[in-house]
Amino acid sequence: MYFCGLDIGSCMSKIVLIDENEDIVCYRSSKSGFEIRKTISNLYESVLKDQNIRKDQVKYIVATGYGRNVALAFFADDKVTEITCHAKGVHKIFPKCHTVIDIGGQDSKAIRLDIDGRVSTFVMNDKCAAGSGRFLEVMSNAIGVSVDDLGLLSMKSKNKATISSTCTVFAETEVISMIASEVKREDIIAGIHDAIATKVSALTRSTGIEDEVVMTGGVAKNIGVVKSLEEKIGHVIYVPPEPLITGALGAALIAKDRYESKICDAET
Amino acid sequence: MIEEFYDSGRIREYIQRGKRIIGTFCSYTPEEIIHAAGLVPVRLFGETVDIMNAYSYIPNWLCYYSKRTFEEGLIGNYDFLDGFVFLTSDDTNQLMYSIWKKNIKVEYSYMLQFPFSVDGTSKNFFTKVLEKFKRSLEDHYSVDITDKDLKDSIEVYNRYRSLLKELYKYRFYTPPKISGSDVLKINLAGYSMLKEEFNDKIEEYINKLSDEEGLPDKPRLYVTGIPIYDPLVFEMIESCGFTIVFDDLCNGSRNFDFEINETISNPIEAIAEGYLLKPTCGTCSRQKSLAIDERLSYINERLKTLNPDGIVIIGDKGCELCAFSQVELRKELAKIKPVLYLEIDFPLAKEQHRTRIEAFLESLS
Repeated sequence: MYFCGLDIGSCMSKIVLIDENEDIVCYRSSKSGFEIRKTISNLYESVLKDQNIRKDQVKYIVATGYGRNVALAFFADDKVTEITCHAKGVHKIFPKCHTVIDIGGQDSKAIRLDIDGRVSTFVMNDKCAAGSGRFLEVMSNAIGVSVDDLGLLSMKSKNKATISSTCTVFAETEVISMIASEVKREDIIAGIHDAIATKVSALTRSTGIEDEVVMTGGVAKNIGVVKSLEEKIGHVIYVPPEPLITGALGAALIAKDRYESKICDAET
Repeated sequence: MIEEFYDSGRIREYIQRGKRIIGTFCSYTPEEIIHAAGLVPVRLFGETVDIMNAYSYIPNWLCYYSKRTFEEGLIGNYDFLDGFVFLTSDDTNQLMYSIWKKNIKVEYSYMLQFPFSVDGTSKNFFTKVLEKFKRSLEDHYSVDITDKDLKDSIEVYNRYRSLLKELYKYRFYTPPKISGSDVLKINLAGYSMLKEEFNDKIEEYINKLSDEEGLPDKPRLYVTGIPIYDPLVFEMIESCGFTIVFDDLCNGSRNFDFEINETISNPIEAIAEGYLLKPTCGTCSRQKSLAIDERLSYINERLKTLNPDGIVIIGDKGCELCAFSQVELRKELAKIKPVLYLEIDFPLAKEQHRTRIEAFLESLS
């Protein structure tokens, strides 16, 4: 018996399959792209094929993320927002977590959890790419470094640059003028990480911060952003081994809960 | 049934009947005086979402309402206006007046000075301001506005306010008899109608409503915040699985939750007092108390009787009144009920907002 969580984000789609013991059987991710339906089917089928699992063995599918309504329309049994799913997924890995900072491709959010891991309050950034993965993508493009290499490179910085603007478009202009003044690459990158951390720390502070703090989403893979954020909020930040899939994991766990309560209802 | 309230041809019909239309922008506008002059006060909504021309005159960080109304003025959608009346109720309103005056051609325009505090001195001051305004309308339109005219208009508007109060009660039923979106639509329709006509319609509607079956029972929300002239926002919230059982928006309860004392012999003084004591949006306060504390006590009182499942604060990045008050509001209200803050901008980033609203619903269950 398996349960599936699908997190269709603005940039990446993630799938997690768990068994009845809530252990992860398999996970995978791919670019969401324009054809969400195709992305979802491909992810799902490739996971089943690899694991040699039949469709009827997957008892319940919960979709989350921006594409959750599309997934619900043709595929999933239920939809839940990524805020609830991240909380659920993080609580499973870090039962003492009370603050989740999730930085995804298009948005960033801060979520406060109560003792039972339930969402007590949350904030999301507004119509603005500053403080999101998209900000890093634009900047990595401007300085000619792959997004994956930004984190380690920034650790070499001895003289961090200051990016004053919180607007992606204007920050890019600032970066370009720094390139023209031959500021060191690692210093610019460190400045970029700082700009994101400033924006996200303000967002996080507005919900209040309580240990343990866990960071999820693709940007959590960037050690530079994590360190800068730790400095700004004054708390240690824990990062799960696979920060990209916590939302999908949460969705899979909710799928199991919902399936069990459905069975329970049917029996009574 | 809601549809019958909406009629875009109504304003033209008033003009054909020889009436002249005065545009207003704020719930503090004492429409009774305009009405007593035989004119038709119409609250402007700003229905245009695409801002094409306004940014050549004003910065894009102003509130959506000032941008949208001004855009409509520029493209000629308000060519039915004979005049407009502004108030110094907030900084944007005050400064938009001169931009409107320079760029939107009308026969009559006026700016009313609204006091920042409420006490005996400010009441005397506002009474004088309103007397001057009355004289200005009399001079421009060559009419005499008698005390009898004013008292008749006060009666019409008091009835208007008490009928809206009555309509709002049908939202508190368990289950509610009418949705927040439908009430908002009726409210909006009322803004472009002569209130005596609207009153008859709404009375008939309320009578029918009492026999209606209730709506499906859903988690109940209290909504507070900026003026919402776009039903889309309420529809979006309610379509996520909530019923909005109360709203104290500028064009919600703050528009009708007061009355003008009909026993005061000088009607202008009565109007001045009525509007000064109206539920505040943060623009003015009673002496010895902060405007924000007044807002909070107004909300708290209603939360006690309504006992909603949650509160949604609707804000606008460009609104200084909500920008300065929302942090305190969020902090204080969160002590009583779960709070969601939505910062609205148009065109609406619907999916992002839906995620917040759905997540809020999930966190309540």
